[in-house]
Parts: sequence; C-alpha cells; structure tokens
Amino acid sequence: MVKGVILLVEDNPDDVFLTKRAFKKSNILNEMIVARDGVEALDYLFGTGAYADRDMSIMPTLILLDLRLPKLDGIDVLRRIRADERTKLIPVVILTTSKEQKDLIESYSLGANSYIRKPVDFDQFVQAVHQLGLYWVLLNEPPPTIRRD
Amino acid sequence: MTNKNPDTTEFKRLEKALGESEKRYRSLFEESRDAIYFITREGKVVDANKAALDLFGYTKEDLPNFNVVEMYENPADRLKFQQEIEEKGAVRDYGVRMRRKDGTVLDCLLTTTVWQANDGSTLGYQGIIRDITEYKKAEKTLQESEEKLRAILTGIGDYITIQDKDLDIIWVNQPTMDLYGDIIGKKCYKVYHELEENCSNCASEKVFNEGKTVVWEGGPYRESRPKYSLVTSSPVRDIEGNVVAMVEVTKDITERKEMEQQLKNYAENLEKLVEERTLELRESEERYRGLYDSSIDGIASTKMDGNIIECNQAFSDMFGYSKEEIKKMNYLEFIPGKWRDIVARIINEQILPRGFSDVLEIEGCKKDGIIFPASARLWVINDINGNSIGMWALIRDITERKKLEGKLKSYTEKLKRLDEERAEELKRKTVQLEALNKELESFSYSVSHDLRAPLRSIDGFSKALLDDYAEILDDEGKHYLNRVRKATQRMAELIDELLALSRVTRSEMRREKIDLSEIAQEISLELQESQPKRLVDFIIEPGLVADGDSRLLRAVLENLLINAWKFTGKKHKAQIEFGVTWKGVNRVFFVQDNGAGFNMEYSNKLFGAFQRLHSPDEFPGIGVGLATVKRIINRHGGRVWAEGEVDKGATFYFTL
Repeated sequence: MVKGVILLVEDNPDDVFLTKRAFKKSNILNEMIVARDGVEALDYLFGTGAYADRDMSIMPTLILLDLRLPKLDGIDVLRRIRADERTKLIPVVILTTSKEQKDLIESYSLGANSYIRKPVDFDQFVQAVHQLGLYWVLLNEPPPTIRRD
Repeated sequence: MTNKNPDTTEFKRLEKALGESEKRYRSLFEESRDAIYFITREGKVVDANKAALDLFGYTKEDLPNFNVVEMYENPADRLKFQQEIEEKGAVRDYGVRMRRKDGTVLDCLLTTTVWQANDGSTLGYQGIIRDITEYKKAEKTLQESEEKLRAILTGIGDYITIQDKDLDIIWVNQPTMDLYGDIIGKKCYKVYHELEENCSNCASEKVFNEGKTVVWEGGPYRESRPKYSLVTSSPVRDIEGNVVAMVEVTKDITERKEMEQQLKNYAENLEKLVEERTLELRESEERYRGLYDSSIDGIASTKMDGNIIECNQAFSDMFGYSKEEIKKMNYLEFIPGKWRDIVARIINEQILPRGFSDVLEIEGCKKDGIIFPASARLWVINDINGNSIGMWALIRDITERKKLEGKLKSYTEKLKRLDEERAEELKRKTVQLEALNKELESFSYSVSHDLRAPLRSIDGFSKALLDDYAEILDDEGKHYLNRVRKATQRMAELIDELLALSRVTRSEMRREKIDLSEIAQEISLELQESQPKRLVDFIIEPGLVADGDSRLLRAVLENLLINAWKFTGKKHKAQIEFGVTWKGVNRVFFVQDNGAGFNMEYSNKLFGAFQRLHSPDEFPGIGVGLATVKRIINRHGGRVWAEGEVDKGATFYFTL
C-alpha cells in the first residue's frame, strides 16, 4: 500500500462522507485530509491559520478539489496552488458536479490534471473514484518533491 | 503735133488722106474718159489724150521729152509687153504698174494693138490705159476680208454650212468638214439625218419663203455629231435681195443641254426632297404639337426679352390666364418678385452659356395672386445659325409634391423619433436581458451543482443502506430503496437536459456556411456504430449547405436523427431520410422516418419541453430534444413543424 495524504476540498458533508466511503470501497486507504472551504485548503497547504503548526514536510500526494466552495472557490484555490513553488507540482483532480464548459476550460488552463464530474449514481461514483485512486495514487509517479512516506 | 522725123513726111501724107475722118476721131480721142495713147516702138509718145495726160500728171509739153519706158515701175515690163504685142498683134488688159509724173504708182491695164502703116509696117503701138489702182485696192481688201472671214468661220468652232434652195450643201467650214468629211453637193437631210426627203420641221421654208432668220434647237441626235445643237438658219440674198441660199450656224450645246438636264434632275430631286422633308416636318410638328398640347406640364416660349410667344393649355390652366392674355405678358409676371433676380441670374449663368438650366425649384404666381411651388427648366431656342432667339420654359406645379414632402418629412422625423425610442428601449431591454442571462447562468450553475448534490446524497445513502443494512432490510425495503435510486437518476437526467436546453438559448451564435449533409452523414455513422446490429437505411441528400451556427445545427440534426433512430427501433427495415424540398420560394429541410410516427392531434405538444407522446418504457427519453430543436431553429429565424401518422412514420421539417 502506497502511503501519502489525499487532500479533499469539499464543503458538503454528505459528499465528504460518500467520497470517503467510495475510496474505502475501492480499497484506497490513504489518509484523507478534508478542507471545508478554499481558505482552509490553502491554510493546510501553506501551513497557515489552523494548520500553522503542521509538519510542512508532508505534502498531499493528490488534491481532490470541488469548484463550488464557500469563501474562496475552487478555481482560485487551484490558481494559488499552481502559483506556489511548494505546491505547483501536486496533482489536482477537479471533482465537481458542474460540467459547464467554462469550468472545464478554466480548470485545465490553470493546470488541473484531471476533471471528473461526480455522477449522481453512487455505483458510478464508486467506479469513478476507484479508477481515479488507482491511477493517481497507485500508478502515477508523483513529482520528486513530494514525499511519499 | 509736129515731127521732124523722116517718118513725119509719111505721117503728114496720111493726115491729109484721113481728112475729115481724122477730125471726127480727134474729137472722140480728146473727149474720151479713157486714157488713149500712140507711141512709137522706141517709146516716144506720139500722142496722148487729155485723160491720159491727166492720169499720169503730164502736159502735152512734157511729151516730146521723155520715153514711155520711164513710166514703167519696172522698165523690164515694157520689153515683155512689147514682145507680146509684136507676137500677138494685140494684148488685152495687160496688167502693169506704172508711175505718174509725181512718182505715185498706178495699177494699170493696158489694151494695146500694133499701129500699122498702110504698107503693113509697124509705126508703133496704140492703146487704152485703164487705171485699176482703186479696183486692186478693193480686191485686196476683199481678199483680206475673205481670209478673215474664213479664219473666223474655221476658228469659231461652230458648224457652218450653206445650202442652196434645193438644200444641197454648197459650202461648209473647216469644223464641219472635220466632222462630216466632204459633204459638198449632198442633201443636208441626207447627211445630217439620213433621210430621203426634207425634214418635216425644217427651217428652210421660213428662210427661203419668208426670208427670216430662224433660231432653233435640235436633238437629241445619234452619236458622232453634237447630241444637242442650237441652229441659226439665215437667208443669203443676192444683190437684188432674193434669197438664194441658207446659212446654217450650228452650235454644239450638248454640254449645256446635259447640264440643264442635270440641273433639272437636281431641281426635281430637290423638289421631291423638299416635299418629303416638309411632310416629315409636318408629321414631326404634328407629333410634337400633340405632346405640347397634351402635356400636363406648362410649356411656354418667350422671345429673348422675355415676352411670351405662346403657351400650351396646361400653362394657361396653371396660371389662370387665358392663352390670349398670356401672349401679351412677360415671363417675369409669372414669377414672384423675390425670384426674379434669381431667374435672371440663372439665365445668364446656365441657360445662355450651355443652352439649358438645371431643374429649378422656384415659385409661380397665379392670376389671382396665389403663389405656388413649381419646378421649372428653361432652355434656349436657337435659329438655324445658332443665334439665340428665345427660350422655352417647362413648368410643373409641385404643390402636392411639396405637401407630400412635408408630410414625409414629418413622418420621417416621427419615425426617427420612434426609432430612437425603440433603440433606447432595445438597449434597455438588452441590458435587462444581459442581466437576466447572467442571472439565468448563475441559476443554471446552481441548479447543476446544488440540485445534483442532494440527489447524490439520496442515492449514495440509499446505496449505503442497501450495502450496510442488507440483512435488516427485507426485499420490499430493498425494492423501495431501488425505486428511490431510480428516481434520483431520472431527476439527474432531467436536470442535465434542462441545462442543455438553457445552454442552447444562451450560447452565442456564429453564422457560417455549413454542409448539413456532411453533418447528417457523420451522425448517421455514429448511430450505426452505437448499435451495429440495427439495420437502418440512411438516405442523405448530398451537398445541402445552409447558413447557421454549426454547433447548434449539429444539435438539431442530432436530435432529429436520434429521434428517428429511436422511433424506428421496432421496425424491421428502418429507413431514415434527410433531404430538402421546396415550399414556394422557401427551402425546407426534412428528416423523415418510417417509425412509430405520432397522432397529428398531439402534434402541438411535440416541441414543448418535457412533453412526450410515448411512455419512457416504450421509447426512452425525457422530452427536451424537440424543444431544443425548436429553440435552435427559432434562434436561426426559421420554423420547424412535423407531420406524422401512428405507425407510418414521421417527417420533421425545418427552415433556416
């Protein structure tokens, strides 16, 4: 089992629950940090706010980012991630309900690695998460700056 | 006369013998007007009468002292003459030139006989001298005159002949000779006209019988002689005044005649031409007169001073004066004061330099003082030499037009105002619409996000229940949960379709040329790939090109073809056709299938969102496809409608 933290940025607790469940169902048991809004996500990533004391040597292997977020939305979070040396190489998968063209284009042009629309059908969602976890967590070789304990 | 010569003795004897006779002859001798002389052979004058002495200017006293030889201008003549007398015994009219005592020379004729003694011996010569000096002079003059005449008759070039009373030609001049050859002695009618008797109209009768000169013209004659001639036939009289011959002077007047004929032809042609031209002119004039009379524009002509020459009825009606009144007026009287200078200026600046004016908008003044707007054009009337002799004026009363123009202007202004208001309104509406669009966008975004999230929860937790509490739940419970999950799926689909529909309405349109046939072809291939086992016959008319947004029209064709595909699903031999037909001038595209069709009673429901004519069990779908088609077609300014019959198929028509 490959170690590594997954950062899930999601404000809907149901979605958080179901996402975690889907990961569990797919046997991806990596630690999952949940940020409830964009600001919290950035606090975690840059060791600020509530995460001021966290060990900054640990960076997530994968970020799952919703676009519709309170405070700071997903697009802005992505922009900040890609703008910072510490985080710019972390794979970011957009996991969202929207399939608006605008969102797709914006996400990819800001450097999102993948864009997945959450299906309503939970079975399909599990399937999607399984594949995504398989690929990004297990198969994908992360950039060397990211420690994979 | 006394003589001491030996001969004198004999002479005296003879004198005596002659006696009385001598006396008689002496008197005759002395009185004769002819010069008579007696000379010796040696030239001594024996006797000469008074006439002889007078002729040569001698006296009797002169006689003994000179020899007659001295009297010859050429003394040799004396010898020649003497020889002839000696030979012949007598010489008659022997011409010789002799000198008077004063030296003047006389032309003389000598008639001389030998003077013989009784014994037959020659005593000398006796004779008569006739002075023919005057005669000679006359003869010379005559000769010269004849020569002159001959030269004239030859040189004159006219043909001159003389015929006698029998009309035999007795004389011709050289030109006649040159022309006819020797015709002397021939009958004139034979020579000239090859006739056997005199010409019926011959002038000779008048000439010979009445002694008149006749001048007459002849011709045309055959070739080789003057074709036309002018003949003067004049009588020739003898000394008693009897007409003995006729002179004919024939002048060749062919050239003149032909010229005359030509002139006559010219004149005739000219006359004909003039006649034709006059007729043409009259017709033309008639035509223009009709135009002039019937014109609804006023037409008047003036002299250069502006005095009216004439006008047509329309002019008279327009200004309210009779034609007779107008003829006494000047054009200025028809123009209100303020326009007169302007018109005068236009005459100087436009009409005189280039012959006509622009169409002027001026005013006219009627008899009753009413002033009305008029359009006018003036132009110059030129005479044949290009001198301006007057002007034409064409005038139209444009009161009505001006009124209409005024109305038009006010309408235009109103319209402009309305347009501006409309534009303002449109701008406002556009702003509103943009705001509305924004709102709608954020609304659909919310819908897409926020409506789906609970659905995911419902489905996810239902699934969790089914997974985690399978033992607790009986089959009915599980069935209910599955129903819940199915409903959420459908709800999700509805939301997606709704979003798609709203996107169609919102997205920007880019019109371009699109090959609809190609798109239909692509879609048909996709469809066949999606269900390779289905046997569907696609008939797609190639090259159907239209103006429109390619993404949206693709959606239209997709919806229609997918519909057709779907509703022919139960057909064993499905057929789907895409083509074009014409309704009047409109090109109508259609998608036709032989599928389930529909009841025309419900055709109005076809294009409403979420309206379905079939149950989802029968044919899957949620009923926004045709609503989407209708919206897209409407956005293109076209129309869409459908025809169908249950189980016989459906045809969807659309225009763009």
